[in-house]
Amino acid sequence: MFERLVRWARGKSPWILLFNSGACNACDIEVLSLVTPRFDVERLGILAKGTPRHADILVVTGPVTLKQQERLKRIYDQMPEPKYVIAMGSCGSQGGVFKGLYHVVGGVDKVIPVDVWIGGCPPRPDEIIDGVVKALQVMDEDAKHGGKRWRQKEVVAT
Amino acid sequence: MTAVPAPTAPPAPTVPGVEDALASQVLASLPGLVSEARRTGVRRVTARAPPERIRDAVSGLKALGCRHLSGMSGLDLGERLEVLYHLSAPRGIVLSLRAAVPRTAPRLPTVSDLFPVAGIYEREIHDLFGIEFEGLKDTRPLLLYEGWPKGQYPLRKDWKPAGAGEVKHA
Amino acid sequence: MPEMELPIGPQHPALKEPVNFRVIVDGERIVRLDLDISYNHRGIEKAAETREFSKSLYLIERICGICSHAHATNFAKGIEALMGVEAPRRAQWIRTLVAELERIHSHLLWLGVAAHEIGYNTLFMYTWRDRETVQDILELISGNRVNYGMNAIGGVRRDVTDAMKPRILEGLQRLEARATYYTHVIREEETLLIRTRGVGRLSTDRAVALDAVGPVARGSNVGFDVRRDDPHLAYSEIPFDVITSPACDVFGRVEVRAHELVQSVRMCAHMVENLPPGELMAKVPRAAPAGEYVSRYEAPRGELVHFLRTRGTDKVDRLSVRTPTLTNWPSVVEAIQGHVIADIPVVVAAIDPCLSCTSRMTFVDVDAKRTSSLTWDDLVEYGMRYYAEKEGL
Repeated sequence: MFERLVRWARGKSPWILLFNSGACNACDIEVLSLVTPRFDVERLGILAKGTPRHADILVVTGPVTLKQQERLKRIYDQMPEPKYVIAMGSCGSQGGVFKGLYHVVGGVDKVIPVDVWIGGCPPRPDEIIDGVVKALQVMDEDAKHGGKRWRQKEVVAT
Repeated sequence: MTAVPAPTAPPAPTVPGVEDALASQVLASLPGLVSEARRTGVRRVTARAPPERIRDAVSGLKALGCRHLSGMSGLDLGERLEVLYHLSAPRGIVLSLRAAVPRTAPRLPTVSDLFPVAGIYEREIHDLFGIEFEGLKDTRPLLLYEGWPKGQYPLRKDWKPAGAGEVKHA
Repeated sequence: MPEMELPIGPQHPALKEPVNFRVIVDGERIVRLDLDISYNHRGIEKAAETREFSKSLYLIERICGICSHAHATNFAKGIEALMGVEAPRRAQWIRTLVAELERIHSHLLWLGVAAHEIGYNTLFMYTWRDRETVQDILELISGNRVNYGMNAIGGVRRDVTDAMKPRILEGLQRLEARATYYTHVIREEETLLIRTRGVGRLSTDRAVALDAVGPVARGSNVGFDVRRDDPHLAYSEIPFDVITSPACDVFGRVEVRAHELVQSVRMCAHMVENLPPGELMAKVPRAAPAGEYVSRYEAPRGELVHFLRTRGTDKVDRLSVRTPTLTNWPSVVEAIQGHVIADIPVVVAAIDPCLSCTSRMTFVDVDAKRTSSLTWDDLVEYGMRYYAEKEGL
């Protein structure tokens, strides 16, 4: 797995921006584990504390609270193309245990488009790395097709 | 502070009867102010105060040794709303002092000058139940975001989120 | 100079928590610190009213991913109290073992994050590497590194078997050596000492008046520990001390946590070696009789309170959660008075804010009528630069 990561990273060092949309922090501390000695993804140039304007990949934790909804959208809009979004964990997918709660939107793709979902509550660090690798693969495929349109459904205007 | 102290004996067990003793002491010391004081469990006592005199009651209990306010909880009991003041009494006892207010006019004096941390709890209870705390300096919402509609108190029993469906659990 | 309001955040990459602080300054000196926690508010208390106890447990465990066992255990034992049921002794010990393991992981996490706040990245890496040992033990016992799911109403869902014990003890042995090392590091590292000694002062009297809890209170010499004062789980059977420091500043809070680390490791070893035999679960009814109960627990950050009310059904009528970080906020506000902006990261980090539990800094130049935003990162860097210049670090 690390070999795949190294191959991708040598091609391009993606800058990752983390956004906590109201999470319980389990996902966040597992992401933070990635830069610590056992997993140490920083040596691959993968993790960086970017501003939205420099980020390639936005990793979102949490079910998106009503408060964070606007900010999430704003951060996404500030990112330059081509931009990719990874939704972390059960919460990122559809709200997790918080689905239906009154201060929660319930899923990142209700606010911004998502490219990769990583399941888990929380996902383990190795699963997170796997998700990031998938995102890099998707980025690479998209680059070959000149963008994302090839894999997006046509929206028919009615 | 020096080296880590070596583990010593386990803590001494609670003396039986402490809860009843506290309840009696409270009733005797604060007559007409605190009523219905009784044991509800191991190291747990409940009591009631008239809402308009809550400050005197809390102050009186503080003088009797309840120096720490462990929390405050709002309750919707239908015709009345209640606020519980969870006071940490000596010997590990939690004394929950309750004050009831009418649903149609839910107001209580603040105790945030007696226990500064109460200012935070009162803001939270206002967000969730709509109870107003007279004299509270900082009345900004604590939990609910700026777009939350005014007058909507989500922890009231009759409040339901707009357009909410049943969430199916696995 | 007129008062200025400085917004910080909401991005706090080190804490990973979406909080917004509002700092009101007079020149360089801080006048007030406001916290906006609505970023994390989800509506858990309301949801608990419509979910059976066992389903509520999954939700409550995720109030906070760092102290998840604290919330779940506090809720479970509260429901058990209302049901008039006692979890079996072996279950209580296992709950306590996981509770202390959680304290270890949480304090190591905090030590690393706090070190990161002052640019001491080596310590961040060391502590989080050591933390992996705790994660491994927790995964061995519970099956998960985070959000362990050990509790059920009536006891625990998984056993600590004899086969697990040697590996756990080996890990604890390693941790004791590391934790002891950290108690030395904090007294000898110049960077740490400069940023923490005399910073964020909170006298014993003020700590009491402001209802400080946990290591914040104990770091100001207030001997308040729910494990001692209101014994729950197996704490009345296991030897431990309430650890306090007379320092009454950030260093005091650091010192208390560092020594609690060593102590918790020893407590865990004691529990593994002396685990009583018996059942893991007591039989519990489906519904709890009508009643009210205040369940208390000494979470890594301090006194955690769940007020529970039941009405004879299988759901709570009311769950009211009071987390230690919220309680410690007035203490932070007091401790930061008169400090320079550069001290904010350290004083805030010193309360070990679990803002997810609590549900989140803007600098506004009122004079020039402009809002400029500092990210937490900028503030941390500013703090490091400030002290680098001031102390020649």
